[in-house]
Amino acid sequence: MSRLSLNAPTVMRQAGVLLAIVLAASVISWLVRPDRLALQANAEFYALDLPAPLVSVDDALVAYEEGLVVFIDTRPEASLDDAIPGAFIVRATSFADDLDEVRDFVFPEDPLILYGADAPVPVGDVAALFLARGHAEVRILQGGLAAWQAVGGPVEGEVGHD
Amino acid sequence: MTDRWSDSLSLLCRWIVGVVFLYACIDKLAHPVAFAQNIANYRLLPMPLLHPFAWLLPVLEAVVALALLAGWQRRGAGFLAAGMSAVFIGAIGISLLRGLDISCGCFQTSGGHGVGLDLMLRDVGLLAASLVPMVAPTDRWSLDGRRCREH
Repeated sequence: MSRLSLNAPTVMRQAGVLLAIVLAASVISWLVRPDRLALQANAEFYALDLPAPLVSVDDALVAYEEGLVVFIDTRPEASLDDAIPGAFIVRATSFADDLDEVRDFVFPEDPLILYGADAPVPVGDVAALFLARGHAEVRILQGGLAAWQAVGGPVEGEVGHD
Repeated sequence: MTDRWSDSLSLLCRWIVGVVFLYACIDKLAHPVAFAQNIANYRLLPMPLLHPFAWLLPVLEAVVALALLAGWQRRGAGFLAAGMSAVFIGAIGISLLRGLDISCGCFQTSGGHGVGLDLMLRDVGLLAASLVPMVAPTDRWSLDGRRCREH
């Protein structure tokens, strides 16, 4: 007779051995396979299902400098200390409340650029909500805040216009 | 639990889970781009992690499947299989809560079964079966068991 045995150190050691093999096999297969994936996924490729078109950071920077667009921070953890200057926080989880707070500043005819941390897909949820509310010109910042900062786009602690 | 019960049950569960994961990895290994699209549809991973994850997961499935079928490092393989099943359950659950109508990408990268409760139940079964080789006291008909007898 033997009893059930949960030998945690053995489990972890064996899992570690297998994970090391997985890592090695992944790296080798990535090096030798001709159809390997690019390390960095191209957001546009996966943006086919997005409800709104993408805008490149370069175009967004031009629009920002010309003051032609309103930026919307859609990050779930959107905070006051690292947003694009002048941006308003409108998140998918609290869309109605957030929109209510900015209704005096964001109008349906305003061209909007929505951004998230990096991936465009979660931003798409907010874009769909804006479109459903009658906002005609909604775009999604390609690469999100990470790409914006990478090209030297301004970021500051103030969110919202005075 | 008698040794005979442990040996038999562990073998059965190893092979069931091993065959499922081996079958699951084939189409993903063959079509990495389509699989990456499947993962992107779940809207869970940030873009920088998408391709590394899409490349690693099928290899993880393959290695775990082979280890389970052979009974090599069975406890670790069972643990990893259970971990993958738990992640799948979580991903499907979140997608259902969000009301996403997407194909699961479980066995076929194009077309395939849509996410649903039945898939969650299947993965719960897979998780339960994965835990057996992890905790079974003996597993005679395995590479691990053979090695133990020799030493």
